[in-house]
Amino acid sequence: MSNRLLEIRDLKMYFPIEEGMFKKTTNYVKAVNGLSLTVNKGETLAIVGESGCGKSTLARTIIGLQKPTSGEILFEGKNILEFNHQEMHQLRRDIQMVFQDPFTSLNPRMKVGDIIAAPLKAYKTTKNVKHRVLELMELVGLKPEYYNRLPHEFSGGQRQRIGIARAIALEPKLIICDEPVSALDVSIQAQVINLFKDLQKELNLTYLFISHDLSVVKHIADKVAVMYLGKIMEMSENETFFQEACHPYSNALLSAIPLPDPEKEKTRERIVLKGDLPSPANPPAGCVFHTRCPFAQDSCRENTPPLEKRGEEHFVSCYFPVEHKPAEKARSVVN
Amino acid sequence: MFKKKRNLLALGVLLLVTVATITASLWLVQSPTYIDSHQRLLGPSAKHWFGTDHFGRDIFSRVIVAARVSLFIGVVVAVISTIVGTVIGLLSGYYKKADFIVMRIIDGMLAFPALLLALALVAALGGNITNIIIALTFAFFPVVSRVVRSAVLQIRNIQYIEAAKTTGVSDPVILFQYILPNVLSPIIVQGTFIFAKAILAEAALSFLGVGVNPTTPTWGNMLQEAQVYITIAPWFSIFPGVAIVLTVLALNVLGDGLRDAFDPHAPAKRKKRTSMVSNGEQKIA
Repeated sequence: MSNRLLEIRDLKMYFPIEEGMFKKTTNYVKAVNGLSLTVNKGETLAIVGESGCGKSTLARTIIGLQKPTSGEILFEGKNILEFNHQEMHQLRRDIQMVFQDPFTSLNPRMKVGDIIAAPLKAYKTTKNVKHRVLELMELVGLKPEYYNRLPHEFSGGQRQRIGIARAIALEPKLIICDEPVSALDVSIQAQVINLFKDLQKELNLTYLFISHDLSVVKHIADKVAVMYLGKIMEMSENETFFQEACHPYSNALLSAIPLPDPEKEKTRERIVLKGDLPSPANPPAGCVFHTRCPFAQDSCRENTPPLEKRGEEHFVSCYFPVEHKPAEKARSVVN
Repeated sequence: MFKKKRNLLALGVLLLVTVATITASLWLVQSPTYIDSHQRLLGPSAKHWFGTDHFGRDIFSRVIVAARVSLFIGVVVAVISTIVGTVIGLLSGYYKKADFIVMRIIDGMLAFPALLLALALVAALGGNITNIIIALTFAFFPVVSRVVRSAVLQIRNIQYIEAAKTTGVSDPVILFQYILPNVLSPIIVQGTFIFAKAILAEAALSFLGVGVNPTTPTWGNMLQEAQVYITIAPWFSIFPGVAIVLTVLALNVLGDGLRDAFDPHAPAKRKKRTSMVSNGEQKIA
């Protein structure tokens, strides 16, 4: 398919645990453990999952901040892990990132204009850098008089806009958003998310949108992928996910969304998972979710369920997917 | 930081010494090398403010002129060892592979007391101003590189460095435009302290007889000459000593002031927070 922008095949990212005086590697933290997914041009793939499931590691690996242990990352059909330094430098133009924390992702000693100009100067794309920076600032809703100000003079939302302007400066094809709104107030979250949507339309961007907030995901995503312990549990289109999610873990996540209607909220059924996320250094055998799954059976403990196609663009990794459509609770979220 | 009297006073002392020694030839009544055998070892008087030495030379003139050599060595050593230390610290803090090897070498250099290292180097190279500067630089830059490295290690993992990397900014630009400005404050503070230490070390080397040529007046040389006469002409050793103490003290106070000014948690900025903290802390402040 020529429509594929990014394809990840069986990606593994292990971090060694070193112990003792000679830093002997005793074990590995399997942050990303055999993950595969595809992102098509122009769409937004949201990756959801709880803290510590490897979402950010995935983002950092795609953008090249870490070398993965094994696997393939295909960008426009080319495996970027085989790129040399020069090719990697060129690739960075096409993949940009918006970071989670707007307070640490901007250099406190650089002016806003210089922060946004940094990628332009690195690639010498334009002679009139200042003009382009002002253009970008307008695009993300920053006033031109902010050009000479320092980051500490801004609120979280405005800082995130600066970070977004920097990310779109080189007109990238893919933007990886690593929880871009989770550090912001709810009211500001909506503004920033709408900015993301507007920019996508205007600049034909593709997003890999990492989040743990399903309400945000529902608003922005075309497709949703659920991650658990470094693996994809379920992947489907947005609507399918919020109506017909059939992995027990997805259902548990969906049931945790609070409802705006207090009457319905009272009757909301919550699937509370027992226990904590198992240590990624020592993931459970078989299906990684079996330790907390209410439907786990012996076969789940022994074999790893493959990511199987269930419907159009709907993949599930489970032997016993929830057959019934999720009841009213999930649907009322959609409506 | 200059709202504090202490810092202002320190800066004043330093400026006074610097200006006095630079313009000395314009206003000094008696040449520091003028020998008058009839005026030997006289106490302080209106004519000789600090008295005279064993050759009848005016100690006041000599103290003022000696500052030139002392300050020159101090400034040059501070600047060179700060620059060398900063570059080494930046590189070893940023590149993990270089870090291990470089830091073991630095550890080795730090194992020698600074003054002993300088003493050995000067003894081997011979005592002149250039060699003293080289020796003192070798003695002091390891400390700077350690301080810079640890600051870089803290900064290196902050997201804006990663953000710069992902936007294609090259390593030299990251090092000098992103990391350096954010570690500048400890560098400046270290530089000030090294300035003070270098003056002290130069005086110590001269006093021990391995420093600047004895015919050049430096504070250390003067002390060395004066030690024989300490019982009969105490002013001979007191005035150069006081000059050293005042200059080094002023530099140290200035360094402390700079550190407070750069440190966001320093008491200097506590004013802003007093409304939020309990009364107990206000009393302490």
